Amino acid sequence: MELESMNILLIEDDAETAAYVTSGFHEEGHSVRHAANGSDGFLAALDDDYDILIVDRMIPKLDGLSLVKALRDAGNRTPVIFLSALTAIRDRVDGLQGGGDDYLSKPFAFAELSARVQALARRPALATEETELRTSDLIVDLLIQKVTRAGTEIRLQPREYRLLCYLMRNADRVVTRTMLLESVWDINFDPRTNVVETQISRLRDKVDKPFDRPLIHTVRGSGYRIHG
Amino acid sequence: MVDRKMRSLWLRRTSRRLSVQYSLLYTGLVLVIFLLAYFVSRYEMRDWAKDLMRDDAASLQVVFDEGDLDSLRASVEALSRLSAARMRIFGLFDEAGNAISGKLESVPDVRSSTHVSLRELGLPPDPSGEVDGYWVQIDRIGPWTLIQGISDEVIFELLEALVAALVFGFVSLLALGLLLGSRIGRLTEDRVAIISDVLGRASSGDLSARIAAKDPAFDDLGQVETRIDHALGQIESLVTAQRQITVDVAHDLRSPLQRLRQRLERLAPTSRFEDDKAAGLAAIDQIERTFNALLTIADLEHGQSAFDLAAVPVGPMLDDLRDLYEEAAVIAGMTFDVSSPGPDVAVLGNRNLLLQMLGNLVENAIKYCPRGARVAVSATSRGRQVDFTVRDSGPGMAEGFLPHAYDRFSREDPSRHIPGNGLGLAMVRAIAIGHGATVTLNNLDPGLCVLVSGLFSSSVNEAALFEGRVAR
Repeated sequence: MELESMNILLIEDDAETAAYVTSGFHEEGHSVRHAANGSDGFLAALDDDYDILIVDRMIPKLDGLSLVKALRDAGNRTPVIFLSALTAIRDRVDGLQGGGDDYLSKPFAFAELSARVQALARRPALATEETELRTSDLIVDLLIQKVTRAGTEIRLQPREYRLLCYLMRNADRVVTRTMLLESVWDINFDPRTNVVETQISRLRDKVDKPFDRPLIHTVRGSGYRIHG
Repeated sequence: MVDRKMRSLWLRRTSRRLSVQYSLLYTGLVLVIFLLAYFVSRYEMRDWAKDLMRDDAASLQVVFDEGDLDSLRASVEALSRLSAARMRIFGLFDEAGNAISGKLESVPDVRSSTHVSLRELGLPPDPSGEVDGYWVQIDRIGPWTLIQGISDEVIFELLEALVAALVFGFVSLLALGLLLGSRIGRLTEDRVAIISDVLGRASSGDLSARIAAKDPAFDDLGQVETRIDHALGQIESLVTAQRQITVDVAHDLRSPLQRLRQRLERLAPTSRFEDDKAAGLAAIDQIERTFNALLTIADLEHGQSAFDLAAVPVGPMLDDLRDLYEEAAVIAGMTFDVSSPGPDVAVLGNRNLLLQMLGNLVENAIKYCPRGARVAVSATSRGRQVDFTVRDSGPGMAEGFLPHAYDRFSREDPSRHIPGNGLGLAMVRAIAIGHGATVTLNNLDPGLCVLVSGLFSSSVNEAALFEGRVAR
């Protein structure tokens, strides 16, 4: 299944990084507009309707944090991912409290940025209350927390259930190991164990193994994707 | 017990303690001075009495010399009558000891310049009870003996007046001293409270806190205030400069690393260089992890870190810890046990950091213990505090290494054949400090026990108390 093309605004002063990110998203079929400083980025953000803004924290003329605050004050609600060399807890908190929706530290892998952009840009509207997740014949009833595939009930442990829900909410999109640790385990450090791989393996044993067609796929070098 | 505690608390204020100490010292000194004044005055009174009687004797000698015995007898008689309320007594006796004039009927067997009781003088008791005796003076005038006395009541009356004046002066001075001391103490106390508050805010990370001392300083405390303000200004400048250096280093190091990663990722996937590419990316990740750990430790240790605080239920957090590390322990051939306190126990803190702290300790245990070892994590609640313990049955830690275990990049094995960056325990301690807790390492022979103690129980929902101990 092909993902819809996104309109991305990248505000980044480092030409090489900007070229790398732009080229990566172009290859994925998205359109990217690049601004090399804060004031140009601010005007560009108001000038067009973007699916997502990727903003470096330390950029000339108007720093990234002030830029996003100004956009929010102007009523712009486009999702923002901060890219930053500032990684202290305080910097992350400042970024998220200042209007950012996600925060990615440099150096970052393009796959990580791409996965986060996809997850953020297509975030379901908050007003819509989900009652069911469906990927092919795999169904999760969120109200009674019941999982079935092809009509057969699958019993999952709480962590497996959370993992499956996260994968299904991001169906057809890559989710990285870091995203899983942040969302399913609710931690933002790397425990340096194979806990993610182990849980994915257990989930596959229950969700895929008894059935003909696997739904959970490993995307080499990036992460995992559930795909019907 | 409570009174003693309250008294101890009351006296814990330096100004109050000094005020009381000065008052006690002042009281002691004044008492000594008053006693000296009393005894000197008493001595002087007796001297005055003697002088008075000597003068009277001299006057009567002149009367005798210029007149005759009759003139002398008449004068003594007159003096005896003039002496009011038995304040003075006179007696004039001939050579045979017969009373010629005055109130005394016989020559008493006493020495001159001594205190003689009424009974010894052959006088009846004083109906008012105020006169016990007399200070007597014996003189020879011509052939006769003159005995005169001054009642001790006179001296005591004068001394009483003196004591009354001294006591009144003492009480007035003491009251005034205490009042002024208390007022001055209160002013000093207020200034000390401001200093304490500013230092507390500074130690909690608010380096913009200042006493706003007057410059130039009015007194020695003012000099201390000025110097504290100056020191805080210097610290703030240094931290700002350090922060700027960190920002610069972050930018100048991370940007090239970012470019390096980009170039590695752009390399076309070929079987020949795929391993090298993966190793290069892993090395970048390792550098980034080390750099992030250093920054986090520095932020936490200097109270510059801002993190969310919440009541973190201990049981579920330890379940998450088990989930994260049990598989790794099993693969390493170890048993991993987690025991939680009651379901209601929670700590005030940041779950992510606390998990990272306990995770580092468990990771260390798994790394350094042999197969078959046991790793156990437990939490205990005592009063308003919660302690965490991570215990293993491994080789423990060399005693000589214990003091250096928290140092950045310190490794017990200098050959570094075990993977790691030597920042794990430094991070553990920094997180503990950030939560107002302490870390203790104990060799168990065999094994190592790491105790993280003093985290606030969430039942202590006293934000102000917590803010005082935790870096915000």
